[in-house]
Amino acid sequence: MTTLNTPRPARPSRASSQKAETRLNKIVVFLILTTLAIIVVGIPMGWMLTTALKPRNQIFAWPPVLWPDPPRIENFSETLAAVPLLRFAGNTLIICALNIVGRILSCSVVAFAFARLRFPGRNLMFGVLLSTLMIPQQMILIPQFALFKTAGLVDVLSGYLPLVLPSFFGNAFFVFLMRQYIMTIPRELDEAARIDGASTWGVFRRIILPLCKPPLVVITVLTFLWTWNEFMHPLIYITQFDSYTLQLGLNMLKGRFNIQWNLIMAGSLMAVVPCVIVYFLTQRHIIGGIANVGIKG
Amino acid sequence: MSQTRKIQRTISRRSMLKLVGGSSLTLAAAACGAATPTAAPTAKPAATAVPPTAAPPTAVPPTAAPTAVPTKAPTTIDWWTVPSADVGSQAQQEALVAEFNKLSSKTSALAKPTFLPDDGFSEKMTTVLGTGTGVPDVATIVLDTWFPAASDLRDLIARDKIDINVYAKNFFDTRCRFGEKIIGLPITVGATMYFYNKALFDSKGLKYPEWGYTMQQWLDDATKMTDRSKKIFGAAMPTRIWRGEFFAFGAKPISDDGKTVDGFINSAKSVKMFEFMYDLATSGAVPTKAEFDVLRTEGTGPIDLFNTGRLGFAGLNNGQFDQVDKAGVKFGLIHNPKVEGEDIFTNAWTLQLGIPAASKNRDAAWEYVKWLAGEPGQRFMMMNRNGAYTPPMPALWPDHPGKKDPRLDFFFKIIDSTRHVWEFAGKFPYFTKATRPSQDVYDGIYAGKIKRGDIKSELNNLVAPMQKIVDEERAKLGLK
Repeated sequence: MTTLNTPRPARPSRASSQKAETRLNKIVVFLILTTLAIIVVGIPMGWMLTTALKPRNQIFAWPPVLWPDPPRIENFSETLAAVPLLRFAGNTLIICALNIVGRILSCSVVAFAFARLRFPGRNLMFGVLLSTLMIPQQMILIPQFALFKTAGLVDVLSGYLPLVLPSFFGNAFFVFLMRQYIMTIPRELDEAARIDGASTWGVFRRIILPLCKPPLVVITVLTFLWTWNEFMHPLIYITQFDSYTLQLGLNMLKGRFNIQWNLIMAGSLMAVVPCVIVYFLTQRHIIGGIANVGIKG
Repeated sequence: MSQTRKIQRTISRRSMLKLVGGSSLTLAAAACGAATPTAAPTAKPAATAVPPTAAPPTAVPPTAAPTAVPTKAPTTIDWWTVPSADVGSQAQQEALVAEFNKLSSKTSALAKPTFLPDDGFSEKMTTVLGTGTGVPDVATIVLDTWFPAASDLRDLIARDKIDINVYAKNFFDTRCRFGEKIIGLPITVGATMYFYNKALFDSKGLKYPEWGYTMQQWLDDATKMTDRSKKIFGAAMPTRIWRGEFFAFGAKPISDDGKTVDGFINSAKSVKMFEFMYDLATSGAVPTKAEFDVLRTEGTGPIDLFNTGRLGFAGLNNGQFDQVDKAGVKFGLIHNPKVEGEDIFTNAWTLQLGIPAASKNRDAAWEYVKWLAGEPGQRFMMMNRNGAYTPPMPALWPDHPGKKDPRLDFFFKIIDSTRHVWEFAGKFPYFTKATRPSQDVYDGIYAGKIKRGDIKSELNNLVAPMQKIVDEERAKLGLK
C-alpha cells in the first residue's frame, strides 16, 4: 500500500527536454560564433594593441612575444611627433560631419519620393539608381576627378568640396535603405496628415522623417565609419599636407623601404577608438535599423 | 486603396516633362558658364635639333645659376614628393626646398612641396596624368607607363648647356631616356645587395660569401642555415620577377628589339631560371608563400625578418644600412648571386625628376629640376643626409660624408662593375605590363601550384598573351 502512495519521480516532459535541447543548441552556436569572432576580430585587434606597445625588435621575434616586455608607451608620443594625427583627426571629423548632413538630407528626400510619390518612370529610375551600386569606385575615380577639375572645384575648401559634394546628391544604398523603411510606415498616417491639411513636404517633415530614426542612425554611423576610413578619395583631392585626413596621415608612417609597424599600430589604435565608441553607442540602433528594413521591407 | 491613390500626390506626365526639360536647360547653361580653362599644356615642343644622346659642351658643369632674368613675381611650382629613406624625411626635404627658395629672386621660381604617402603616390599620379589636369609641375616619373606623359627636356638641356655626362651613365641612360627623349634628370642612386647575417654564418661554420658568389652556393648556404623549428630561414624568394636574380641566368622575357616573345620567355635559359626558382621554393630554405605574403605585400619584404635575426640572406639596399644597424644585426654584403658564364646583375635605380607635359609652369619647374638635380642641390642633399644619400654624380662621391664606411665602397663597386636590370627593362615602357603574366607563373611556382616538369609548357603558354600585350602597347606608342 505504501508503495502506491510513494510519489514517483517526475519524468521530464517532452516539452521541457526540447527546451533544454534548444538551450544547449543556442549555447553551442554562441560558443562557435564567439570563437570565430575572437579569431577574426579579436586576434588582429590584439596584435594591433600589443604591437603598438612593442619595441621594434619584438614585433617579428620568434617565438612570438605575446605581451611586450617592457611595454613601450613612447610609441604613441613618437607617432604624434612624426605625424600631426590629432589635426588630421579634426580634419576628418569635419568631412564626416558634412557627409552625414549631406547624406541624411539627400537620401531621405529621394527615398521619400521613391516610396510615396507617383511619377512617370519611377520604377525605372529606381532601377537605374540601384544599378549604380554595381559600378566599382575605381572605375569612376578618374572621370569624377576630371569632372571636378573641369568645374574648378578641386581646390575649393582645401580639396574638401569634392569629398563632401557627392553626399548631397544621394547614395544608392542609403536611398534603398530609407525607401524600404518608409514603405513599412502605414500610409494611413500620411492620409491623416493630408486630411489635416499637410502638404507633401509637411508629410515628409512632420510624419515620415520623425519615424525614420533607425535608418537615419544607420546612415549616420555608416557614413561616419566609411568617411573616417576613406583613403583613396582624400588622397586624390587633398593637396595641402595640413588638410590631410587621418588615413592619409597614418599612411605617411609607411616609408618606401621602411615600415615602422609599432608606430603605425599605435596610430591605428588611436584612429580606431572613435569608431569603436561610435559603434558601441549606436549598435542597438544599427542592428535594429537594418533588421527592421530587412524584415518589413 | 482607391482613396489612397486619390490622396497620393501625383505628378502629371506634362509636369514631369517640364521638370526634366527645365533641369536639362539649367544644367546645360551651368556647364557653359562654369567652363574653367583646363590645364592646357603649355610645354614648348621639344627641340628636334638636339640629338638624343648629344652631350652638350662639357666645359660647362651643371649649375644652379639662373639663366632667366626675372621680370615678374616668382612662379610657385608644385613638387609632389614622398618622404622616404632614399630622398629624405619630410623635414630634410623641406630644408632642401627652403634652400632653393632662397634663390627665388634669381630663378623666378618658388617650390612648394606636396608630401604624399608612398602608398598613394602612384595612384594619384596615374589619376592626374590620366586626366591631364591637376598635374604637379615637378615629380619623379618612376613608372614606365608615365613616360609618355613626361615633358621632353632636351630643348631646356640644350638651352642651358647642361652637361648630362656628369651623371653616372648607366643610371642616366636606363632611367632618364625614353626613346629619343630625355624625360628627367636623375636624383639619388640605389641598388639592391645581398645582406647576410654574420652570426648565422658563424653558427654553422660557413665561409662568408666572396665576389663571384654563385646561385648554387647561395642555395647551399641558405639550406644549411635554415632551422625551421626556430623559424630561421636561409633566404627569401625574390619579391618580384625580372629582378637581378632572373637576368643573372641570361634570360630575357622579350627580344632585344622589344618585339618578340617566342623564343625568349620560353628559352632554355628562361626555363633554367624558373627551374632554379622552383628548387629554391621547394628547398625549405625560404619561408613559404603564406608565411611571407603579408610582409611582401607591405613592401618591406625581408627586412623585418632579417632585423630579428631570422633570415640568412636578404636583398636590401643602401638606404637600409641604418635600419639594420639600429636593429643590432651584424651583416656583410655580397652582390646578387651569379650564374657561371653569365654576368652579375643588380637591381639598381635612380629617381628621375621630371616635368609632366601638362604642367603650366614648365620654365619655372625647370629651374627647380635643374637646381635639384644639379651639383648644388645634389651636394646639399648629400651633406644634409649624414651619408644616407648618394647622388648620381660620381664626381661628388669623394666628398660623400659616409666615404669611410666600407659598405659604401662596396655599394660603389656594385653599381660600377655589375650590369643593371634597367639596361634591358628600362628600354621598353611596356616592360612591366608585358611581363605581368610571367609573374603569375612565378607565383604559381612559389605557391606549389606548378610542378617542375610543367614549367616549360607553362612558359610556352605565356607566349601568346605576352605577345598580344607587346603588340598592343607598341601600337599605342606608335612603334613599328
